[in-house]
Amino acid sequence: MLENHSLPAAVNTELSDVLPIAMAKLDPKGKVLSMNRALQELLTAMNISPETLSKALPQRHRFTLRQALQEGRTEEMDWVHGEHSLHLIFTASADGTSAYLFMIDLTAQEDAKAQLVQSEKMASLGLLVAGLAHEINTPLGAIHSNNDTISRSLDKITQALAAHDFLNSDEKKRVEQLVEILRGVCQNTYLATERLISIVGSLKNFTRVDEADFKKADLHEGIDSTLTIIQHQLKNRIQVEKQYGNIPPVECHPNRLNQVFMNLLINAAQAIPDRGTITIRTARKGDAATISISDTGAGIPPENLTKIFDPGFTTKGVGVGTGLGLSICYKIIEEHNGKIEVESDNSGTTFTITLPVGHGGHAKKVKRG
Amino acid sequence: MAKEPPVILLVDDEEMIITSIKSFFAIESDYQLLTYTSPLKALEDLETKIKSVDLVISDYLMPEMDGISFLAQVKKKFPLVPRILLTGYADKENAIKAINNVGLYQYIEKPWNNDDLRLIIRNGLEKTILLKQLEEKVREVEKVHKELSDVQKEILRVFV
Repeated sequence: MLENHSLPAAVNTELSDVLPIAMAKLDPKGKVLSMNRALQELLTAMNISPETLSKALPQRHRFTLRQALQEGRTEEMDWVHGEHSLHLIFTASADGTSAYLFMIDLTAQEDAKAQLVQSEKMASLGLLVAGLAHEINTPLGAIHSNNDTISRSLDKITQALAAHDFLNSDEKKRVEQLVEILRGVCQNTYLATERLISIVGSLKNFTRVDEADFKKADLHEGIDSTLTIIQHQLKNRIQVEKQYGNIPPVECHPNRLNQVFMNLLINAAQAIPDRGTITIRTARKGDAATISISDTGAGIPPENLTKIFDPGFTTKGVGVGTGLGLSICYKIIEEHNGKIEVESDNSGTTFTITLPVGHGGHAKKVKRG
Repeated sequence: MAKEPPVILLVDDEEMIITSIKSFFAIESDYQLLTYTSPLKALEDLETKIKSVDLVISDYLMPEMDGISFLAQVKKKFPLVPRILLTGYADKENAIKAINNVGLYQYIEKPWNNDDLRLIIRNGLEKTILLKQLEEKVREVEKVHKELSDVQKEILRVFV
């Protein structure tokens, strides 16, 4: 049927344009002669013009390319440019007259991998915390109970002192003083263990390793647990104002939502340079619950507002932010069929989460379906 | 019935928990506590030495055997005695499993509140006492019933 092996140029263009891999034909000097649509789009996204493509490549890649062209070989290399991770395949004809460059954009895969690593980290952290909570609860239980027993014994000693006259008044006074000191110390230990119990309880609440499925949960409980955990980051620097409305239990994955609350609250705390306030508001809007977290920080510059949910985007600098926090929040809220929105000006930033009260997640439907 | 102090069997592999609970009940009750750090030794003594027990408390995570298996063994020997699981384990599913499988009387999480513990134990013991009284009444009723039917037989024998 085929009369001619070479197809018309128009068909070639059409074929290469539907290819999802970015490709270009190069001349022996490495200049782009022609390219398909995927490459045009990729270069636009990367802010590179076809003329400057070879210059944008790192020195060692250009060197490899030149060698491959001279020897008529195929070379593969990885290239990270800005937020883009690319895999390059460069192939030259044996006579060195023509060459092709293929560019595969791995950015999305790399981000997905990073998110997976992050959520695996959170999961193993959860297991670790649950194990630790158990280990802590045994000695804590003993201390808490002993302290109560000591305090009860002191009461009995006081009663015995009042009922009998087996000491002279000076001795009695001295014993009463000692009992008072012990009572004070007991009260102090009581407050200390109560605080420990509440911290361990919050840790257990926060990780909830036993709850892998969607279930109805009190969001205020989750926010309060999260606040206890990040208390040390807020210290006396930041005042937390809670304006809790009347919201019903929400069908959700409590552990995952707590992760969202934690990310947003830590971001809010880091956005406030010196002293300030974080306001947490909850409200019911029809079939949805809204949670908003506002800070009195410096705000997000308008040019960054559209990028903050992108994986890898961070302004916190190396070592402080992974640039994954908000993208994970976005993903988790998406899993709950909810939405997360941001408003910001120079007086602060507000993140607002809207969650459907019932049958939130498609994860559940998949599982039960 | 002579009023003897209730006997409570407590098993926890951590000596410190045993000391805590023992000290608390020493000042707040007349209970007689039999304590074990080894559930296997406790089972052995239940088979041989211990004549009667009114309530059993066990830790959940122990190296020799877990608290649920231990309480299941106790149930075989003393089916009517209330069984309480005391645990620091963060996993509620285990508690539910235990209540369904072993028929737990109560589940207490570490760290516990002494007043709660005392109330739960007091209620548990009351349940034991009521069950014992019920058993006794049933026995009395059976005895009276037997006497009655003996009399009935006697009457029938005389008149028929």
